[in-house]
Amino acid sequence: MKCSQVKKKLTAYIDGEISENEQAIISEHVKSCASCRQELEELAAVTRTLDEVVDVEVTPYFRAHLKTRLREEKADEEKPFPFLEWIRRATIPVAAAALFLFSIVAGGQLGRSIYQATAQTTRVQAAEIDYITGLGGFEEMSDVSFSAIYEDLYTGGTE
Amino acid sequence: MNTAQQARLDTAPVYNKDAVKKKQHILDPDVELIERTARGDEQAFEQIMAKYERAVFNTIYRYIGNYDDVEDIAQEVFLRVWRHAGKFKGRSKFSTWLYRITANRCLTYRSKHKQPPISLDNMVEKGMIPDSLKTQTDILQRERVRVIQQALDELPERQRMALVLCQYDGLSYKEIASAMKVSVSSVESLIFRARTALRKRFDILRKQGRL
Repeated sequence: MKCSQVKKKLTAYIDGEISENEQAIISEHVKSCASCRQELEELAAVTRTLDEVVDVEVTPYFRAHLKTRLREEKADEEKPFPFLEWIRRATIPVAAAALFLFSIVAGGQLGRSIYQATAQTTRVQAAEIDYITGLGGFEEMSDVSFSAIYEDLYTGGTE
Repeated sequence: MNTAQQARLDTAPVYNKDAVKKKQHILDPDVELIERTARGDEQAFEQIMAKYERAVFNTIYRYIGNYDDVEDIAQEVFLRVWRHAGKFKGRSKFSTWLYRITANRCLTYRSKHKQPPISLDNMVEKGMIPDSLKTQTDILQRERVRVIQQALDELPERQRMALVLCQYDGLSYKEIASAMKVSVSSVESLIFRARTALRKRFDILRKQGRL
């Protein structure tokens, strides 16, 4: 293992967070490498220095304060909502539900009106087209063939 | 637990929920306490507090470096444990879950409060300094501790959290990775950079005669 690789592993080595195999390799390496050995000693010194930071004590009334907060939370959960508070909390969901229902009903009505208006317009337009093209006249024609009609026209209906 | 029991637990079929649960209970005795807490058992919750309050207190203190707010954050941590006990599924050890809550609370705190001042006198007033240092017979030692703590405070957030959990709480890299939601190799890198930075900082402080 190269020095650069060993140096990267030194903190994990101090914390015992490497495999037994790596541990053996690094142990051997630092015996013969002064630079890595010095690095290891300095990092170990950092760990020892950090250990000088003493534990702090839990503040004397910590549990009492926490219990008070827990009791307050429980009381809040169990307390029935006052009427005004209930109204205040219910306003937004109720308004949202009402708006949703209104949207559905109004949307349905609007859709129906548009459909009916479109259908009416289509009927009027169809009637107008029939009138303009005169195709409606065919309904009044007698039930005869086109050749008979032609003969009527040619002979002036004399025969 | 003997070897045979361990072997039986290790080979417990994963589809057998009872077996898995039994395995969790034996491997992590806190599981039972947290399950009782989830059912509203205050005594179980008190046992959890008794076991972990000192560790949580110290982790927070070493991380935020401001004991004025340690109690508030510790309260938040334990209130979260109480409120969300039912959400603990036993996928990690309870202590890892607790440290994750603690780390999150600390990170949230530090994102809102930058570099608070350190005053050991205030700690003495609050009863947070151990008796051994209360007598002020060793003022130099107290100053030394303050300087070390300050150097720790100057580390980037994630480096400091990883180092605190490793150095003071004795968590393995794997447990730290789980608590901080990062990979084990990231933890190794964070701790490496933290110790390297502290080595340089301590060198400067020694040259200045402050350490």
